[in-house]
Amino acid sequence: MTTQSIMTVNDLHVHVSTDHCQVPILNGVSFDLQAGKVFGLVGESGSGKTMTCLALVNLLPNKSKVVRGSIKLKNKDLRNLSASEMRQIRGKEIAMIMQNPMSAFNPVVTIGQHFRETLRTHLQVTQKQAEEMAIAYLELMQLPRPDLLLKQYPFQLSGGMLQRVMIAIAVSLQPSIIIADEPTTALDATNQLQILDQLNMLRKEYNTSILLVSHDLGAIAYLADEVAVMNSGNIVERAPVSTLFNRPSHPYTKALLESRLSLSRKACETLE
Amino acid sequence: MLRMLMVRLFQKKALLFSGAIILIMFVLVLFAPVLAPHDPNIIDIEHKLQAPSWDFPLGTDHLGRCILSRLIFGTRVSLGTAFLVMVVTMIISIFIGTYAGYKGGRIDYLFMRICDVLLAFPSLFLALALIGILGPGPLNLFLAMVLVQWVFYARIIRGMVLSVKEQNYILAAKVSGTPGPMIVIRHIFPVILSQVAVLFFMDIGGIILTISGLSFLGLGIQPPTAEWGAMINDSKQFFRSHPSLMMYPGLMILTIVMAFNLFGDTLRDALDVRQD
Amino acid sequence: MIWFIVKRLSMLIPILFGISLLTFLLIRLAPGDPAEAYLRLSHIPPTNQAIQEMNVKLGLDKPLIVQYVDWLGKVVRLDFGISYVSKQPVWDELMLYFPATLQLTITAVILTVCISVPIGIFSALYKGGMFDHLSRILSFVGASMPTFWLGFLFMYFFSIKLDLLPVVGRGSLAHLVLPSLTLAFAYISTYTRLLRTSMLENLHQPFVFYARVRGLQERVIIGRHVLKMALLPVVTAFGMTIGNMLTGAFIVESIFAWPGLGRFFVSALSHRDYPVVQSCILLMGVIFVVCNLLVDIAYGLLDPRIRWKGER
Repeated sequence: MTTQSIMTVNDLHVHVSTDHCQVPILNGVSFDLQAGKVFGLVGESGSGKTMTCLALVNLLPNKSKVVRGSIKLKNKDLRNLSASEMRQIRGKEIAMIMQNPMSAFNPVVTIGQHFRETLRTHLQVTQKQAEEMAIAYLELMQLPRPDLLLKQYPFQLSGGMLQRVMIAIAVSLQPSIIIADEPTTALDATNQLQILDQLNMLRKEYNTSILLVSHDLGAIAYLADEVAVMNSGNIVERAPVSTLFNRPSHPYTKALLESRLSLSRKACETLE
Repeated sequence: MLRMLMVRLFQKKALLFSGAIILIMFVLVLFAPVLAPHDPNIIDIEHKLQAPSWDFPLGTDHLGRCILSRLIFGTRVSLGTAFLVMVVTMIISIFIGTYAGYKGGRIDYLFMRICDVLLAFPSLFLALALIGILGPGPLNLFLAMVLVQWVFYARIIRGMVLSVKEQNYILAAKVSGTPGPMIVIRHIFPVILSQVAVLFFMDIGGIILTISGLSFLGLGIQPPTAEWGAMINDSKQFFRSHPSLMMYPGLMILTIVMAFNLFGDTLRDALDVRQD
Repeated sequence: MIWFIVKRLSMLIPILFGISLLTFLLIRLAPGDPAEAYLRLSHIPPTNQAIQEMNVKLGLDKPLIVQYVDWLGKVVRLDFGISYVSKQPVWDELMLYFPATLQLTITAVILTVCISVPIGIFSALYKGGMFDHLSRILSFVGASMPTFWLGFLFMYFFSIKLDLLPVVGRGSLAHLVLPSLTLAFAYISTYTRLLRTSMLENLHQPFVFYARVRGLQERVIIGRHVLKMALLPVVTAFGMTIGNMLTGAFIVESIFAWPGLGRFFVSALSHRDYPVVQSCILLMGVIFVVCNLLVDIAYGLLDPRIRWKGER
């Protein structure tokens, strides 16, 4: 299978302006996302992973903006799009799964409403059709009783279920790219694996490109095809997943990997 | 810490501005007899409803009394009553609220049921009804206001005490054997007092409005005492021909209430006390 | 939802009981003797013997508890007694004046909602802009304005100077404009500020970001997601406001000679017409409690988290 590049990010610079000066938070980030592949982005908190994601969907917080570089989605530079064109791309072309599913949903709006409004924003469908689509995608995510689920409110569901609903919503518009920003961090261990498996299934079925952002090296190793390591706004190393884990070349990557290994070995020694 | 707070407070222009107005009002309260050009209650029917002149800077009312003097003396009545009501209410509320919140149990349960019933009436209405039943007059006005207001603040203070009570340093004090009253005085009062002060300044404007409103209805301060609400009531019948009679007391109320509201709001923001 | 309403209704009973008890006892605080007041209002000289007879006739010679039970029994059947002044059943009189007060209050509520909601939303959306500053100054002044004074200002400018609207009285729709606006003014200010703050708090919640991520139109995000959350504290505050608004209507009525409950109540107070005073107090308490119940139910409809709390 030949790989097909969906998105190319080139030399991305993002600055935050404070009262006195401009502080760079991304210094020339470049990577590309390919259809059906998972691109992992690792790094400690504050290294610019989330900022990169936000820049891709043009939802950077106030006072920070892209100052240089290009974000090309299928040869279209997203930086040249108007606000409303960009809005139509969000959700439809680039979907995003948020870190904390418990707070991402509006507590006073039903799951069904969340689902339907997303579908009807991007597709010309009736309420009824949207409802049927929603049920189909919830079933795909192996959620029990989808018809009942749609009538429920976010607080009635567990974090793992909400995360799967969020994935179902993301997938339902069959986007080219899904950005998953720490999709498993807020979940307990049993749910984590399930979510990763489901993401894996989806990229195979729909040939979606996934940008997986995590500080959990285990999740990255499990799912990613290619990995980039970020540190203070730079990608310090980029390599296929096996290469990176087996023969890391950058000192920061080594340190990152070792911090994990040494921890597990120490734990073993004390246990024995 | 206290110094930092003072610096922060002084940086707020709004606080300085409103504070200055409040200060001026207090000067009027204290030196009313010196500052007022005339006795506010001297009736001179021959000089009634006069236009402003050197002798009467704001003219005279329907009984020939000096309006400026009445406004100045009115400051005493309005501010004085409001402060008295608020101070007494706060003292009662602090005691009852702290006691109910700290002790808990049956006392607290009883207190909450009293709250349920008293707060089942709109506060303004209850004040109106009470004063109507007790009969109009300054003492009954004061009694009615305190009786209606205390529940509201006592409940807020009870809430504050409940949340402070759960703090670890209170627990530490208890574990180390500090007696109950000591804990309340040393650890709980200092925390809630600043919040109470903010409440005091945030709501005193409303109290002034209520008192002048009741006096306007003829239920509060009685004529011939110079009170702003009662003055507006007096000038009702002349307001087509002499609208200025009504303007001055209204402007006084508006100014002082705005000053207190601004002061309270700014103080709350500076101390970051949230009222719910 | 039904369970939720039933629960709220059952909480109502002890409160209503408390209200009736307080109302009954409040009247006993009054200086002077009801029998004497009755005689005076009937132009009968209050001799000792006449007072004695009156006490028996009005049932005032019985123990307090018996009086209370008698009174409560009648009240439940909407028998509020006979007015000392007019000698008419109090209930009939109440129903004569109350609609005017209700009309005034409801119009003021509608004005408050229709004006403060859009202003609050726009101030929050364009925070720091010209409109926001203007509305903040206006609402600040509005909250500090004495209602009775504002009423006269309105009357002076719109009725006397500009001759646009009738000065006093009740009748046409034009008569309603100034009184309801006067009554609503302070509440418009309060609610504009409240909604603005509440909108600002919700505009940066994660669910707003998630809605943007899904490509929803700004119109839908503000109108459906943010507004629905921002209205919750406003609805809560509304329950407290409605009673004070009814009382505020009393003051407005006295300015604009509006023939409502307020004037009836104040004149009953000055005449010491005890059955009327008592009934008015009870009526206000019940209305206020019922309004709060309705607000609670509205809150339950808006916020499912409250509704489901008791059911699990």
